[in-house]
Order: sequence, then C-alpha cells, then structure tokens
Amino acid sequence: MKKLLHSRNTGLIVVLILLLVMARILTPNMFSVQAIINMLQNNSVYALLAVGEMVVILTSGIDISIASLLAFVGIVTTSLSCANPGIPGVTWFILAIVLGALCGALNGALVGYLHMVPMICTLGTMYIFRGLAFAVSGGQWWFAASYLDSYRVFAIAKILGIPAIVWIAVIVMVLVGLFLGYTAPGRRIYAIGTSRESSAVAGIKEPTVTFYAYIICGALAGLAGMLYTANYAGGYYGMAEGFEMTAIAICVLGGVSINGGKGRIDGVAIGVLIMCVITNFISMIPGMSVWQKALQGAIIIVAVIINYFTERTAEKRALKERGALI
Amino acid sequence: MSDYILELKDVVKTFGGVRALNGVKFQLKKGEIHALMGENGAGKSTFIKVITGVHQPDSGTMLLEGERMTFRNTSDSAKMGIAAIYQHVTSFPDLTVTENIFMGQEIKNKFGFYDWKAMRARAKELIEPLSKEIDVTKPMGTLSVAAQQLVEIAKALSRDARILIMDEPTASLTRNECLQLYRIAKELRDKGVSIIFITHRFEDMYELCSRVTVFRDSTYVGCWDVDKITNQDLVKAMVGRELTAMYPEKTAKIGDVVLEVDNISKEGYFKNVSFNVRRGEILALTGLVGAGRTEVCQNIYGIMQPDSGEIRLEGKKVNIKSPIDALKLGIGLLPENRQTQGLVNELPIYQNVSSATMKQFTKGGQLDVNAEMENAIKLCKKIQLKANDITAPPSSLSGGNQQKVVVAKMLSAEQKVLIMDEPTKGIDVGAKYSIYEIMNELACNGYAIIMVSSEMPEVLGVADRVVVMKSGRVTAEFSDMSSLTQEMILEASLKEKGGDK
Repeated sequence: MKKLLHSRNTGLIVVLILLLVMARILTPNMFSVQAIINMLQNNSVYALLAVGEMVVILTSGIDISIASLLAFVGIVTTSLSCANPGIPGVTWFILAIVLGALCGALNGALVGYLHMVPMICTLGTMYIFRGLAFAVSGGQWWFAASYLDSYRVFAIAKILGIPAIVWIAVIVMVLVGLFLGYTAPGRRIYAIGTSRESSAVAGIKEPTVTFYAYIICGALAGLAGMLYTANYAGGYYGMAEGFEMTAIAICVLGGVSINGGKGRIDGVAIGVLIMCVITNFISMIPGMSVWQKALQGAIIIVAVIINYFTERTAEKRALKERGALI
Repeated sequence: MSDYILELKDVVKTFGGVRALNGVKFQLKKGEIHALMGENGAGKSTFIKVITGVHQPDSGTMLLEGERMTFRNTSDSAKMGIAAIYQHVTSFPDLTVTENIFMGQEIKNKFGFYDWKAMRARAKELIEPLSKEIDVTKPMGTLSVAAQQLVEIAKALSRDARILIMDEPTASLTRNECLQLYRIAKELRDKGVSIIFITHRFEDMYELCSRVTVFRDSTYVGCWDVDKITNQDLVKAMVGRELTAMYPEKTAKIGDVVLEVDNISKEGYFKNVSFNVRRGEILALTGLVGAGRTEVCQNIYGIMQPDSGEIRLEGKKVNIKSPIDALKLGIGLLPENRQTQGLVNELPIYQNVSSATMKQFTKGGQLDVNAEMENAIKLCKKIQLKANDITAPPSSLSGGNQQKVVVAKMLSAEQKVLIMDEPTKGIDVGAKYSIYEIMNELACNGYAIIMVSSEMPEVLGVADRVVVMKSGRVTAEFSDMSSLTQEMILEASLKEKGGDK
C-alpha cells in the first residue's frame, strides 16, 4: 500500500492540483459537482483508449489504429442496433468488445507473428478501419440511441449519481491494473517490453504476448466505440479522429516509457485526469480556448523533460550506490 | 549407473550450411567444475544452447544421468535441473530483482495472482547468502554486472539446478568480484551442483576447475585434468598451433612525453588524476571496474570535459571540447564496447575503416571510393585482418577480427596518442596475441598508447608502466615492470587513500 503512489506520480498530482486551483479561480462557475461529473463522463472514452494503448506501448509497440477502430466498431453497433431495435443493448456491448478484439487480433498477428513494424502496421489498419467505418455507415450519421434506450444505458445510466461510462472506465482500469501487476500474462508484457532477447531465453513466447497485448488494446477501443456512440447518442464514420494521439499523450504524461517495459496504471489514471482538466476547464477560461491544444502539447513536453531529469537523478543515485564515487 | 551426470556424444548442429558443432562430445561428472575452453567461434556457445534446449541438435545423443534426453526449449531443460547463465547477462533491466528471479516460475496465491510478498521474501532468502548488498526491490538495471550475475545465480538456485552452466561469467568482472564468484561456485560445487564454466582466462580454470575440455573449429579436441596439462599445451590445443609466448617481445624505444594529464577532476567520477605517457610507450591504466579509468579516458578524448586540471599535448596546453578536437590533435580512442561504439554493422568493413576520416578521400565534394578502398586494404594488411571480403559487414568477422577493424579505423587518421579501452575484452588467446603484436608495432612507430585493462596478466605482460586507480583516484604508479607482481597491483587497487575524501 505504501507504494500505491510512485514517486513520479506525486509530481503529476501536484500538477493536477495546480490546474484545478487555476480552474477554480479563473472559472468559478464551471466548478460545480455536475460540471466535474460531465467532464468525467465525456473523457471516459480517453481513459479506455489510453489504458489499451498503454498495454501495447509496454510491449514497446504502438497502436495508432485505435481511433479508427473506435469509429468502425461504433458504427457497426449503432447501425445494427438501429436495424434491430428488438435486440437488447447488452448484445451490442458484448459485440463491441468481441469485434474490437478481432480488429486488435489483426494488428497483433501482423506485429507479433509477421514482425511488422507496429507504427507501419497500425498505420495501415488505421486506414482500413476508417474505410470500413465509412463503408458500413454509408457515409451518413447514425442515431442509434434515439431508437434504443438499452443501448444508451451503458453510458448514461447513473449509479450513485455517476454515469455508467465512468464506472466502466474505472473498473477497466482496476482490472487492467491487476492484470498487469499480478498475473503472469500481464508481467510477460513488461518482460518483452524491457528485453526481447532475455524473454526468449526465459522461454517467453514474444509473438504470443504481443498478439494478446494488441487484442486487449483492440477490445478496449471497441468497447470505447460502443460507449462513445451511446454517450453522444449517435455517430458517423469520421468520429474520434485524432483520439489515438490523445491516448498516446496520456500514456506519455502518465509516465509510460515509449521504449516499453515501464509504466503504471495509476500514472495513466492521473494522466487522464490532467488531460481532462486541460481540455475542459482551461478551455472555459476566456481567451484560453484558442490555446488549449498548445497547452496540451506543452504539458506533454514538460512531462517528458521532468521524466528525463527524474531518470537521470535515479541513474546517478544508482551509480553512487554501486559504490562508484562521491 | 553412469559416472557422469551429463554426457553428450557426436553432437552435430548446422546453421544453414555452416557446421557450428561437428560431432563434439562432453562428459560432466557429478559435483565437478568443468572448464570449457576454446577460441571464439569454436562452438562453445552453440554447444551450451544445445544443452539448454535453445537449439536442437541435428544428430547426436545427450544423456542425463544415463537417460537419453531431448529438449525442445529452455523450460524442458529447466525442469530437468539445468540452468544457464549466459555471456551477455540476459535479464530484464526495468524489472525488479525479485521479478527477474521468478520470471517464468512466479509464486501465485490461490486466486492465481502474483504473490509479491512471498516472492520478495523468497528472493531475499536466495540472495542473502550470495550478497548482502542487493536490494531485491530495485530494478535489475541499477545493479552492477557482477551483482546481476549473482541474481542470475540466485535464479538458477531457485530452480534447484543440478547442472549450472556459466558462459564467460568473469569476462566483465573485477578481480574482487571474480574472487567472490569463485567462492560461490565452490560452495555450489560442495553442495553437489555440477558446473560447466566457459572461460578464456586460465586463472579461472586453475582457481576453480578440476577438468577442462577444449573445442576448436566446431570440433572436440580433448579433455584433461587441469593439474596434468601445461599452459602451453592447452593454448596449443585451443589455437591449433604453438604459441611460444603469451605476449610478444617488447621492442619499442621510449621517447619524450607526448601526453600529460595534470591534476584533472570531474565531479562524481574522479579527482586529482595525473599521469603522462611517452612516445613508444604502452601505459596501462588499471584498477577495478568503476574506478574511473574509462571516464578519465573519455575526458582526454573530449566526450566529457574535466571540471579542473590541465591536459597537455607535447608540452602545450590543449582544450579538448569534443572527440573531433581530440582527433584533430591526434588522440584516438578505441572504445570498450566495439559493437555499439566502435562499429557500424550495416556498413561494409572498408567504410567502417574510413568512417572517421571520410574527408581525406573527398575531392570537390565527391567521395573517391577507390582511394577509400585502397586505404582500407593497406590498413587491413597492416593489422593482419583475416577477412575474405572487405565489402562485407564487420558482423561477418570473429570478435578478434572485429576489434582489428576498430583499430584500423583508429589508424586511418594520423594519431599520436591511442587510448585503448579493454582492447582484448572477450576475444580469444590467438586473437589477443595479434592485438598485442599490433600494439607493439604501433609503439615502435612512435605512438603513445594508453591501455585500460582489468586483466592483470595482460597489464604485466604488455605495459611499460602501470597506473592504478581506485575510486576515482590514482593510488599507485609502477615503472619497474620486472619486479611488479599481481599482488602489488591488487593492493594498490584496493587501497584506501587517506586525505580529502
């Protein structure tokens, strides 16, 4: 328990609190319980994407197809639920996860077994999924939610006053956290990310681990697709464009090493919250909305610089402990 | 019942068309430490991988306590109690020591989740008898190479290994760390673990092993009791020819001081270091790994700048801000890690040779490939590089020959001072000798050579003068080579120097 907060996360929490204080002072009327709940509701999709992306980045890979995947799955579930209003929403919930996992399996197979470069592979599937989304949607908007309440329920139903989509994001984070920290398949993900050669010697099947890492990422993106359309009561093929970059940014902000093998779920959780605050409150400050993107970028750069220095001090400390010198 | 815990016969393994193992045999007695020696490329590493199941032999038999075995992968061999510690430590640097130990055999609670607490406790139990200083919650990457090896040993112990294979474990250890490893290996032997110890160092063999098997050119040469074979015969068995001496005769004339290092300090690395080196002289800079030797050289070569003190070249104070400055002044560095710092494996050998001196071959902005080739051929001849094709990448060469390419690269520029950081690390006896010969010849041609080395016999055999460092300070300088002994160097490299600490 005492290690619940990684030392680096303390810094992130300070940043988060500073941002909140700023927001409190500058936009007092936006700082209501309802506004915060809305903010969480609208950003839960990022949380799901970021968690999936984290799993892939830990293997030292990257998945830039997740936003397209989200759109594709979202369009499939909306259009199907429109066409079949009799089928209960839970079917679409499960279908979204399965379809997402299948799309992820395609990425995983190409990267894991055919050894394609992750960036190139998912660049390809990014266009494929977006194209499929276009084909399935017929190029038009779909409004599933207006037909079916049991579809929207997964995003908007309130439990203890908090929307279901937020609960789902929290549950996913806890589950993925347990998976990564306390199960053998989860730890294998870190292992291949930190050293492929050592993994091979330790008898870890690197292609298999890569394969299921992308499946997890895909399943979460698929789930995010269903929830996104449920939350906004509709969707079109071009939705969520650029979300993959936000997800990657959250990971970097949360301390996930882009080289793989390093990163914790609590860091990503705080990363999501920081992103949330920037996009929501800061953009409400008069005159600041123009700067929202730039501010997002600046925070990422600052986070990386902080990372660099914390790692350097850690290295220096390690050097000292090795008994090198004063 | 067989006398041998492990016996291999007529093992053949080919990769593509290349025979990596050609009918080798090997017999390991219960509770012995058995040295496996041979030049690089003799097939030792492949052989080990056959035993552990990383590779499957094309033909041949393997008997474990008299029973025939075939391993499909490393977990098969691990189940039978065979563990290997590979040459390049194969750990997970970002993961903790605990996790490294239990990778692949995690302790889980009844829900199937990792039981971190139990694993940490067990890891501590395993590590403590080996070293009291290793914190099991630290990432592996923060440990020294020696400590990492101890973790690997703990890992092997956690699997109740009956046969432990160590592939050149002492290659990057300091003298003290070696002694510690010897002690641990002996303790394991006394507990009944059989150990295969691959090494290039005779010292290891004499210290530890009762028998020695030699491979050469993928074949089995012989197996001897260590106390019944002379050094010379062993070298002959390994090299396939007689090497009259381990070190060539020194012939260079020593001249004036070329490089003078005066009282340089660098916060966190070394303090008040002074020495000089003369024309035609080989100066050995020795001490334990981590004593600051490499860092001193990096300061001379301009990779880092000293905080205070002076470096003088031929009496004139020089200000070296970068390696380019150093090269311009005529100081060359042969880096310790030839793979990552010395060579570009994607480029052909001749381009590697000229990579630091491309300007010489450029006319009007155009590179004269013929001149570049000629230069490379000339230099490769000079260093007796054994290469069929200098347009092939250096990865096609053996370790020793790769090192020669790095030397050739250094020589392609006009130099006065050559810094060689562990020039013979990880290369075999035959190749070592020719590297020494090259060093000698360079000294004869008036180069001043600074050799950083941890290998005492090499320091004694090659150097004209020895400077010893400990914890970033120079603790001794010896110029009378005839009376110098290993013990004297060792004492100096362990000495606590009083004063301003």
